[in-house]
Amino acid sequence: MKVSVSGKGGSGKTTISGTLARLIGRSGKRVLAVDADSNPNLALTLGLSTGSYDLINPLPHGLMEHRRVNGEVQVSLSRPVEELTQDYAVNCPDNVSLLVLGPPGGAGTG
Amino acid sequence: MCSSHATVRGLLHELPTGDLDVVVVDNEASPEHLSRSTTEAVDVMLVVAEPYFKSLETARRYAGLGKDLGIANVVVVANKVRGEDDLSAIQGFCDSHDLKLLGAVPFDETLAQAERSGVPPLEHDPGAPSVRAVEGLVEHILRLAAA
Repeated sequence: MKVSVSGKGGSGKTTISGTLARLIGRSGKRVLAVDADSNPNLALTLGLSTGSYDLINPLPHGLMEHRRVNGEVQVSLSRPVEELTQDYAVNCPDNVSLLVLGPPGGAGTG
Repeated sequence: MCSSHATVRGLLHELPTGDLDVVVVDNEASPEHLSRSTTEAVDVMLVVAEPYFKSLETARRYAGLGKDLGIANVVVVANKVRGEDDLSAIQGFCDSHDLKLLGAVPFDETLAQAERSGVPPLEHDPGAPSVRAVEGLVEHILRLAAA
């Protein structure tokens, strides 16, 4: 099951997503929280201590590859998704792991 | 396509997998995650809306984009609701735009305290009204996704 959280800036998306992820985790399910915000802040709500932020290894960009299948171009992940979650997701409390999308390389690079 | 959007899109098409049951995506405020079809492959889209016009208008627009992407369950969650007036304003807005209001999270001073001190709401006060309200959403969401 996949849940996406959207809304205007400042509406409380991150607080609601993070708390929701943890409460679903506490119900016994294994949850992957994906921080798709280019200014990532979900780790705090998920209960990751600021000291362990260094452990977060953001998912690199450019993981998609174009393949030609029967003459049609298909776009898909260039690595198995299990491998990506294994290599990049960080364990958080309450059965939740966190995957952070790589932030932009720096001002003016996007 | 911008590579970060493409990556999330690719991930969401292939998740959840293996030992994962649920994926929760916290999107950026910009509507790009919808206009670029980044989050098309989800079962439930929560649109968080505060009880004021610009927030509700944004929610309406995002919900419309989500429905256009073919997401089966597009629902509104009211946030920072300060009472009956706020709730009925949001409910009225949802009714007149054919949006489903899944639940409401109250404005919560304990949450503001948590934010100020940089402590997650669940550690600050697990019994806070806002946390309890989110707890109430869990069951609704799991039921929506299972339907």
